[in-house]
Amino acid sequence: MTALLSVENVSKTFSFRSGWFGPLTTLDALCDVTLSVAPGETLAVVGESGCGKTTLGRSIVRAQPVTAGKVTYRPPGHDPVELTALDKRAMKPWRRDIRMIFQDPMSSLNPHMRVFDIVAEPLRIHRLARGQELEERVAGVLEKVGIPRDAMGRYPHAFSGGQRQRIGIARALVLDPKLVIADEAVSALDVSIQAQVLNLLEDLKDEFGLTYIFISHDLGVVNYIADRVVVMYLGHVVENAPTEALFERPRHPYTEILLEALPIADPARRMRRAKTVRGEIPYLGSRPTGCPFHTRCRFAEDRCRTEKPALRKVGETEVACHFAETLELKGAYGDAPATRTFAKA
Amino acid sequence: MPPTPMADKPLLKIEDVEIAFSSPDEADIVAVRQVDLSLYPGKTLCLVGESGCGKSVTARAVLRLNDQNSLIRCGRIRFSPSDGETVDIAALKPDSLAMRKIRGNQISMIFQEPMSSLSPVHTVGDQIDEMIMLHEGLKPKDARERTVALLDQVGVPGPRERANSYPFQLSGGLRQRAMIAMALACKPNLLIADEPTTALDVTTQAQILDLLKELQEEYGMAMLFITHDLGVVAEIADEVAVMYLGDVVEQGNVFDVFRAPSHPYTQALMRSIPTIARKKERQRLSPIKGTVPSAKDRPEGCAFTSRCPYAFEPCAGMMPGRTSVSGNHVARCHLLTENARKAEVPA
Ligand SMILES: Nc1ncnc2c1ncn2[C@@H]1O[C@H](COP(=O)(O)OP(=O)(O)O)[C@@H](O)[C@H]1O
Ligand SMILES: Nc1ncnc2c1ncn2[C@@H]1O[C@H](COP(=O)(O)OP(=O)(O)O)[C@@H](O)[C@H]1O
Ligand SMILES: [Mg+2]
Ligand SMILES: [Mg+2]
Repeated sequence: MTALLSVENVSKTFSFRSGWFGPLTTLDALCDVTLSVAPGETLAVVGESGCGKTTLGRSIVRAQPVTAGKVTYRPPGHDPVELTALDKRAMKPWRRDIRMIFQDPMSSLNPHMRVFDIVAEPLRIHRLARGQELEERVAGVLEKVGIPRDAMGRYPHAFSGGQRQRIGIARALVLDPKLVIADEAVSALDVSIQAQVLNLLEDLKDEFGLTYIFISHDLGVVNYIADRVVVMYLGHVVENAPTEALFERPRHPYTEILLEALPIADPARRMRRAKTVRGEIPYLGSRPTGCPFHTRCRFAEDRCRTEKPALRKVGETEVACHFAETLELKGAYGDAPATRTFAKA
Repeated sequence: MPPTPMADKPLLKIEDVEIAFSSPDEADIVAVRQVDLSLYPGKTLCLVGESGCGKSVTARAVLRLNDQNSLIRCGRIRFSPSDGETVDIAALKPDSLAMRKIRGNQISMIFQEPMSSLSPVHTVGDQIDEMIMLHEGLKPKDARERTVALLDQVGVPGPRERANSYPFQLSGGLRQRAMIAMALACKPNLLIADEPTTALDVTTQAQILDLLKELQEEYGMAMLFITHDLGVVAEIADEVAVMYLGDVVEQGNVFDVFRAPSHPYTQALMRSIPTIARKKERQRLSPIKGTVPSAKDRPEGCAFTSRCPYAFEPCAGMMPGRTSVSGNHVARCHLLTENARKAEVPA
């Protein structure tokens, strides 16, 4: 199937001065990122904090320019559009199709605006509705996310965290988007509220035929909601696989670490965790040469320290590891094989 | 793994504690009611529940760190260190000499945000040195040797050099380790950990949990560990207490509680977390409806009545007592009392 959106070789470098007269520092937040999302798919993007997930989302919605590479959007019934080549004006109509939901509903909702105006704002900006019609559309979408019509006149602080997230979702959906990028949208919520919002996101997806890019650091949630998972490390895509393949048999040692670290809500399984999880992400400014992960990888060899592995296909998976074919890594499902054998390539 | 038998004598016994907050223009808010908890040397008790349910208020009461407008309305907090007399912490003045001796000496606390217990203007090493000098009367040079050994033990690489870092120069994980080192400097009998891994990446969290378990084995300390994550509970707890709106609704051995959650709230919590399962075995989450009411709107009787799918006649009228499920596993639910039909755990 042709992708709804594809990201090709996108890099993003931030440069900033530390202090007034400090040296100009650069920081590569995204390095040659390539991925795509099919219509109707939920694609999860996972990785530790600082690995570039938010930067990827912001690059797709053009909240910031990319340093290199291109992002192509293929609207149904329309020629493909290279978003990265558009200026602000030309980009505007496509902003209706691609919307973002953020982690912290409080900081993303203007506290001085009533809920009605928060949700109506995108419709006003795009001049899509006014008067009675505007009111009906706003009330309709709020109802869909479970906020009653008579609450439209209140301000965000009068709502709980879960309700605020629903308002953020309503604001994203009011423009009938095709693609929704949810950046840690459920991460700050208590588990029972998180479950409500996850169910809501699934229902809305079915009802409106949405496609999701679901950014999260929680692999439990990702296993539940995603069709496919992209694992990022220090700005690189290191693995990209269908959800079940990734959890059944990870191909990149970093993915294995993430799975291993995941606390499982079953005390009977606690003994199975070995001590594979080690090290911390290095500071981005001092990115290792060769494979970005080699400093924490228990399989690292000389080659890994000098030669950067490219993303390549192994089975259903795309993976960037020199030894992906031969590594037997441990998955996260029930009684996945616990053996780890390592044969040199 | 069979449940480990408890040593007979608890290090800390919280009995029937109620904590309220007063405000000048409103009625008192009862944050925590009828809480009973026992902590044993070398064992970990996890307090788990959603935000606002009273976990931190309970933990801070043990060190008498709650805000000035708080009041322990009733109950006892008996602390019985092996080398001393039993004291009732609830009866001490928060700023009394006896309380200060316990705080940071026999009982230490670590927090979600290490910066709340580390000073930003002193190096990590100087801060730990000072603790050690205070508690062990060592000379600065010897104290630094202990500090370096401690930092090494908590997994700070290059501890001698890192001791000279300021907290802001360390990563979140290293800062958490430095705070743990400081909490351990006085060899506490009890470590209270209030969501110490909540702000960390799962990888760092896994390392910190392992570290705390290791240190507990070595120091034999009891641990009161607060979290909102049932995965973390399953990972680290010997005993677990589930809180809802100020009440401990269910508590007991962690294996028993996870195998047979018996309070409808505990069951609902467990059904709200996605299980790590293949697609065909996966089920739609079935969360509880609505949200937790605030403490001042707490329903009469069982606090969970307003959201409980099984609520029946007695629930709205009477707070349920503790009913034994098995062993030391108890829950507060009318369904469990003799005449009621059994709560069904939906498969
Ligand atoms: N505006 C910015 N200026 C400088 N550095 C930035 C900026 N935005 C993000 N970064 C850096 O880029 C890296 C990736 O950040 P981010 O995309 O937010 O990661 P994630 O969302 O995966 O936690 C981080 O090291 C972050 O500090
Ligand atoms: N300083 C305070 N003044 C008034 N009420 C408070 C105060 N601190 C806590 N509370 C009350 O105690 C309840 C429990 O808070 P807390 O123990 O911090 O919850 P958590 O389980 O998230 O740690 C809160 O919902 C609030 O009603
Ligand atoms: Mg982010
Ligand atoms: Mg708390």
